[in-house]
Amino acid sequence: MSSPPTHRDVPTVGIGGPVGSGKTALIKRLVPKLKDSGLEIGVIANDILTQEDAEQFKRSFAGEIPEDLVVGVETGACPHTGIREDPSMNLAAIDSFLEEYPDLDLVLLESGGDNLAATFNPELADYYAFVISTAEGDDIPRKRGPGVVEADLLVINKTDLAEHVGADLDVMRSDAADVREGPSIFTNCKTGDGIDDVIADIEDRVLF
Amino acid sequence: MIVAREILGSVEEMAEQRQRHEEGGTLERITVSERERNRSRFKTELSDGTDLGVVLGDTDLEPGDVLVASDERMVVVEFDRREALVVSLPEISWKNALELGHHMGNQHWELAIRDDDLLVPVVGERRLMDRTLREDLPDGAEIGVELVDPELFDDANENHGADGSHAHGSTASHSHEHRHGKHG
Repeated sequence: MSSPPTHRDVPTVGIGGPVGSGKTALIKRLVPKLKDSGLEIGVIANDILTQEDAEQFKRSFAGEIPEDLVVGVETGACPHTGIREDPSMNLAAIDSFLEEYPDLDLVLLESGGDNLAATFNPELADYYAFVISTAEGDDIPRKRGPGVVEADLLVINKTDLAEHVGADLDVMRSDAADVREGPSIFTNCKTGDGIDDVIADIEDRVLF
Repeated sequence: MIVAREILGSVEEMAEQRQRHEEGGTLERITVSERERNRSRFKTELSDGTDLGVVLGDTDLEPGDVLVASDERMVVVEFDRREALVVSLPEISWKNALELGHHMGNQHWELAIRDDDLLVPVVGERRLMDRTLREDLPDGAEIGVELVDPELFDDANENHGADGSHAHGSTASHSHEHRHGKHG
């Protein structure tokens, strides 16, 4: 008899980044499209002390994914501890998804809003995207934060705000290429621009 | 794209095939990074441009593992070595040792101890780590740099012996540990 599936048996994608960069908005865009391509998806939202993001996802995805496939993990400390130093709470949440949904195709993990150093433990995420926004300043890629440098994908969000805050997208593109080996994608999660490119990268590198 | 969903054996066990592929120039050793070896799946590229997906679930990858063995090619795993700061310590008091451990723990660094040396794998900028490390070093300590076996930093508690291992391949002599919560 084969053993029941564990967190090691389902592809996992982390979404990290600073507070307000658009992690939640990105996940709200990704889930319906991934679901339309036939995938069964679970979503885990890490928050320091609240279930705010998880509740927001439950409302957003009502009727699209079962309510028990959306959970909040309260890290209770620095936001990165739950995704980097000790991912045990997140791993347990994935395991409990699999008890009910053994054929789950993908789990999306949103980190709590953090600083530029947040990275995902490779045991937890098979791939992770780091989300920054143009409104945080166009010098963010140049600062070489580990999140920016090491992420599998850098998502530069809120392109629509760039002109209002004096952020130069060409500078961000060129600095990102200088400090990273992996790809960078510009998105506007309000309109959905760039989302298909993010999905294509996830499909290519994780969902094989 | 080729997808490897199991480890076919170790290259030592598959000596005959290895020799044939070595002579035919179709033996390929892929370097697996620290991040890849800890993931349950990753994608990499072979020298001829072919994509290789690796999906191993609960099985730990080890150097020498064979992921592909066909008429056309044999693909063998090697681990990328890790750059580490090596701190050589003089005799220090328990108080100094406690302070140093507290300081290093605050940085969330991985740590290995080899004889009287402390080894910390470099993450991000080595220069910044070196500077941070020096802040709390006792007099007489020295910092060097080495490329080391990445398994040096694996949690010693990860090895749970016979209950955590399983055999695979045509011979049962090569076994792989299942992982038990390596959260370093």
